[in-house]
This record gives sequence, C-alpha cells and structure tokens, in this order.
Amino acid sequence: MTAPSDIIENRNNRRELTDEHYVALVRNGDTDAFRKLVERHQKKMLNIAYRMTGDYEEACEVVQEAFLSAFKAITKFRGDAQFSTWLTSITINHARSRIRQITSRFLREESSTDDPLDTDTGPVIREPPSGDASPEERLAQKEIQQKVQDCIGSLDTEFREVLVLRDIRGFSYDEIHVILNLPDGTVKSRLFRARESVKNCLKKAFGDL
Amino acid sequence: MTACADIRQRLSPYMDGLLEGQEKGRIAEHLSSCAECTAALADLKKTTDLLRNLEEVDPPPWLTARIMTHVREEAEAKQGILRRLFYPLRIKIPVGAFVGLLVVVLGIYVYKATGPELKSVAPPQTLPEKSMPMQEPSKEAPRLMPADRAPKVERPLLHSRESEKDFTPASPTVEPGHVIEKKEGGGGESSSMDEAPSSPPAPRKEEVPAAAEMGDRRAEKRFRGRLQSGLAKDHNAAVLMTVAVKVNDIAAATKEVENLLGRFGATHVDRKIGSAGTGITILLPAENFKPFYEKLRDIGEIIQEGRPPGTEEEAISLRVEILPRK
Repeated sequence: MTAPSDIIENRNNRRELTDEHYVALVRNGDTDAFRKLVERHQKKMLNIAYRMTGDYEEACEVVQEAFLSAFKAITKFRGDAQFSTWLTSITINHARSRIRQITSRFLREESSTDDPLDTDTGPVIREPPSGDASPEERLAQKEIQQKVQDCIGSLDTEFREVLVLRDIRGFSYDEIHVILNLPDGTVKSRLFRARESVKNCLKKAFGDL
Repeated sequence: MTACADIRQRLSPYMDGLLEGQEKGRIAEHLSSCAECTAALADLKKTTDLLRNLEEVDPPPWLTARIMTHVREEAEAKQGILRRLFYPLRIKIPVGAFVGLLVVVLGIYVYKATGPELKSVAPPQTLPEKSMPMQEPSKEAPRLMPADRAPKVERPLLHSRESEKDFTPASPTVEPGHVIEKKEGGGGESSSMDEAPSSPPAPRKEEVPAAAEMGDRRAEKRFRGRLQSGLAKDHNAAVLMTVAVKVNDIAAATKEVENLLGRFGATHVDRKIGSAGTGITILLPAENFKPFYEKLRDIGEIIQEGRPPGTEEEAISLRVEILPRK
C-alpha cells in the first residue's frame, strides 16, 4: 500500500494519483478523496448496473449503494486486485439484489417490459449517436438497442452478469473470474450459453442478424 | 453434426482467442469446410458486436453529490463511533481528573468552613465544668487573664448618672496581680474557692439570680468562668478597677458603701440595684482609694479586679459590686 508520506506529497497533485493512492487517502480519513474515485468510476458502474437492471433509475440507486458500500468497506480493500475490479464486484452484488427486488415487484405489479426507459428523475441521458445518422436510422438504432437490452434482460442473472462484464464492459476472463469469484471454466461456459441465448433472442427479434 | 455441435460449443472461446495450438487448428480447419459453423461464428460475432456497441448512459449530474452526501454521513457516523470508543482515553481521563480536583477543593473548602465550628463545639476541657456542677470546689488558683486584656480607662467619666436599673454584676477582668481577699468572720461560711463577680451580657442576666438562689458554688464558678472569658468586658470598659464585696446582707452593705462614698469624696456615676446585688460605679479621688478600699474590707469579702490607681492619677474610676455571699 502507499506510504502516508507519499500520500501527503501527492495531495497537491491528485490528477496523477492512481486509484490506490486515493484509496489510501480515504483510508487515512480524507473523505473528499473518495469524490475522485466516484467521479472516475461512476459512469462505468452505472452502465454495468444499467445493463444488469435494464432501468436507469434503478441503476442510479445501485451505483449509490455500491459506492457507499465501497466507502464503508474501504479498509477491507487489500489491493490484491484493482480498485475498479473490486468496485465492480460490489456493483454486481448490489445489481443482483436490485434485480431480485425488481423481479418481485414485477410479479406484483405485472409491469410491462415494453415501458419506456424515461424515469421520474428524467430521461436516460445517452451518448450522442455516432455519425450522421438520419432520424430513421437513429430510431432504428434505438429499437435495436432496446431489443438487445431486452434480450440481455431475458437472461438469468448469473448469465447476464458474465455477458455484461465480458461483451459490454470488456473485462477479461481473469477479471471476471475475480469479480464473480467463479472458476474459469464456469465463466467460459456461462458466457457461451449467454451469447447463444442472446443470439437466438436477437434472431427471433430481427429475423436475421 | 456431432463434430459441428462440438465445434460450435468452442466457437465462443475461439472467437475470444482463448484457444491455442491443436484445438485452435482443428476448429479453423472445420470452419474452412463447414458453412453452417462459419455462419454460426458470424452470428456470434454480430451478437457480440451488438452488445459491444450498446450506447453508454451518462450518470445524472446529481449522482456524485448524492453519493458524497451519503459518504459524508457515513464518515460522520463512523467518527461518532470512534469518538465514543476513544472517549474514555481522550476526554474521560481529563474530565475525571477535573472532577477529582473539584471534589478535593470542595472538601478543603467545607473543612475550612466547618472546622472551627467543630473545634469550638467539642472542646473536651471546657465541658466538664458544666456537666459536673456539684463538683467539689477546686483549691487551685484561678487562671488569670493576661494584663493586656484588661480594660483600661481611656477617658475620664465627666458626667454623673444615677439609675435604679436592674443590677447585673459586672465582669471585671483579672490582672495577673489581682487580689482576692476575704473578711474573717464576715458572716456566712468561709470558702477557700476564689470568687469573682461577673457580669454576663444583658441576655444572660437572668442567670445571675437563678444562680444566687441555688445556694451552692455553681454560681461562683460561673462568675469565675465569665470573668476569665471576658464575656462582659464591654460593660465596664471605662472602669479602671472593680471591687466585688461579698456580703450576707446586700441592703445593709449597700448603705454602708453609700456612706463611705460620701466620706471619701466619691461621685456616683451609675448605680444599679437588682436582685442579684448592687453595682455602683464611682469616680474616686486617687488619694482616697486606699482608705476607701480598707473600709470596704470591713464590710465584706473583697475580690479586687483591675489596676490600682497610679500616683500620677487624680481620680480613679471604680466599680463596687455588692453581691450575696452565697
């Protein structure tokens, strides 16, 4: 871990600090240092949570809970893995819990999966569409994205999380093995089945890929 | 088909480049000759491309602030827990020390405030006299008041005053060289006990007749005690000398003393007659003091308190107290 003297020297040069430096600062009582970690990782965590839950508002809640849990448990972060890996693991865990809540709520309210993504807190802010796509193309792209998301949402959680981590967020097999605490073979087999399921789902939706 | 099913199961790691060597070559060889498996690989790639190309969502602008609000609340709560944990070490010890010091200071203050009272309440040597009133009279000489405590005449008594107020014996102070004389055969029993008239302060004057009626030595002891304690010294502060004459018949003795006053040129300053006796304060020419004093000895037993007149004085302020012998 980082020595306190190094931390003090680097306080005025936080732009160059690594996650581990900020973690060390937080562990030494510098709560504001945690803001840097939030700012650095909140988007990645939000997208993981969003692809896991399929709901922007729920994803925001998951991210808040995940960062708060990380802050509470930051003394337990041993630095064996990267902070982002550790944080992702926490986010996935909170997303699982949230999915269970959403599922039970869905069973009660029989809400439709075709509901728009707009939430009470405002519409989902998306990245601007790439290229000079026409409105028709953008609409088609939105529909494709929604279908893909629906297909992801049709997966069981244990398959969904592997797919999100590998094909959406680009984590390596080793990282997924660490994040999910699963054997390599289990990761590979789950990923294969998840991909096959989404492929078949998309084929059903679009007829042909 | 069995070969294709086996190959398709390995397409996912094959696509990710996880396979090496012989297995990778076997799949590549099969794909080159199997259009269906090649199409399956293409579909798999399209699927992952679609997944990889999903648009990212941006966090809401309030998300960082909200997370940090929760984080700060948690940090404050944690600090509160730490404060409670370390409270005994950091705060409680100084607070305990302060409280201890406060208790000690209060204890000292209370001791100082109540100590003198406790001492005055329980002096072991003063209580027995009161608690044993019927004790046989002591033959020891009375303790004497130091000379510097004796009241002295600071100014002559210029006005004469006569009153018939209740007499209460004065409290002459006793100088080291005091004289206590008794008249042989002066009537009544002779006593070896030193006696001195005493004049308690006004609130205590009813004690004197009560003591006189007791007919024993307790009254004399009380007089002696008051004399020594100087309780009534303010009463005769202007009197240079007090002569107590103990007689059997106060009325007759008072008359005799009155006659002597006229004979020796004394002036009445004050006269008080009461059930306890008669007190006469006079201003007497100094040269007449000795013969006047000798005549008083003929009347009764004399207890002299105070300083005899000096040669330089023209007049002496004298208090004559005529008291019952019993």
